[in-house]
Amino acid sequence: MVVNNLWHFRFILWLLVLLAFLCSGQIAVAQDASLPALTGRVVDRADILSSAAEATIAAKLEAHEKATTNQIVVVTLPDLMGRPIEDWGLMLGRGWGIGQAEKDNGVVFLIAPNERELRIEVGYGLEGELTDALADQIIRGDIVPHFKAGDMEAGILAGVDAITGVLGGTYRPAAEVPDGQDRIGSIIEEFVPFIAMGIWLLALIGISVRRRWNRKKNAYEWYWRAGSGGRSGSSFRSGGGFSGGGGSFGGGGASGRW
Amino acid sequence: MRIVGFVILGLVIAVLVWAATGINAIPTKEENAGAAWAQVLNQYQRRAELVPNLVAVVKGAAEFEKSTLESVVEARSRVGSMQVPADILTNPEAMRSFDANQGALTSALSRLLVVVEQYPNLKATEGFQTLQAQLEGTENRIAVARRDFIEAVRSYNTELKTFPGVLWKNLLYQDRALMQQLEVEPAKMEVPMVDFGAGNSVEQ
Repeated sequence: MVVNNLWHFRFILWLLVLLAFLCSGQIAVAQDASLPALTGRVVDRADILSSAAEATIAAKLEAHEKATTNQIVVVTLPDLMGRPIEDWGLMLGRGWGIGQAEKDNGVVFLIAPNERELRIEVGYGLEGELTDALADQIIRGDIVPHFKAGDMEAGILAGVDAITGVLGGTYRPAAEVPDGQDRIGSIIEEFVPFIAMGIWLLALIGISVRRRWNRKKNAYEWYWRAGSGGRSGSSFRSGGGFSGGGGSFGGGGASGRW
Repeated sequence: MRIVGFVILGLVIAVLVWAATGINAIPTKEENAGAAWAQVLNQYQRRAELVPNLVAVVKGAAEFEKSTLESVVEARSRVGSMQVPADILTNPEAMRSFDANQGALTSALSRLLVVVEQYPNLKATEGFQTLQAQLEGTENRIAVARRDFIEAVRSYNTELKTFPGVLWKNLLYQDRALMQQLEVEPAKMEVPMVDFGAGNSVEQ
């Protein structure tokens, strides 16, 4: 009996070790809390937006996602903690998993009012549409003039309009003359919303399946591991019914200051 | 005593199952590292293609400091003529010379951007500003691609060296060698959210 008891004791010990091993994933997820919470499409940590403006922007971004599946979030940070703004853009984009997992079509529009810096971080999948040069043009041409005049809200709204405009194909930089569209192009364009809706639905189904799987697997691998396995938007639960789709970022976009 | 037998058997099976799930880990991680490396090459290529445009625009500016421009052109041509051997990932010598050549272009370009500050007329032109945005974006992408590659190599090398990967290496993947790591300044490798104090404004 004594021997038996000893083995029981060891068995329980092994179970505890196993339990600890399984829990290590959970602990790592908890460490993610050092990222600001993704409380919605607008995360105004620096508190520079009125609630009306926040609602307007959120509605615009939601409509844009419905039409194109592109996820855009606006983030204001009170403090960059001495890190380059490029690091923050990448960290938030990958950490939150902004954009759909299969398309990497996310954008993080980041404003640090106290450092007077801003950045448009562009996901892998949108680098072709929202190029570095265009992002730079939006920053210098559409946003910074408002910021310089002290009107943060107008600048952010202009930025959101410009970004959604570029991705929706309606943005025209000041110098560029709009070119005529061909017939086939316009016919296809009429179907775009339907196609986009279809893709969106499919992606939604796909993500929920993937998510269930991911949560069990390495949901905690974010940022550094995001290049290969960082579809980690799933580990996050939002308050406003919005969460990242698991998109990833590669450092595309542009930064600016005012 | 029967319970003891079951427990041991159960544990042995559990360990075997756990080890067996790792059979694909080495090839998977090798693929990941290869993909991350391709991304590094891709971003360097993109930069190399930008440089001639940049040089052309800067040359247009009257009396631009010659030596700065020449060092960029020279570094660019060395990068362009460089042969990247197929086994570079496991060839320390090749990796070091690749890194040295790309690093020379990086520093030549950042010096150019510093010197440009003295030419407000050039700096104000739309052409130059666009190029500068593209160059900065590319440098940032290079930094990200390098970090991802370093992480992928770290993960692959660890798999080769630790259990159960080392088991599979000896059984099935004996030809796999440790990959060569890129060298990075310490400031670039710090994990964010851990060391907030160290600001690094230096371009990669």
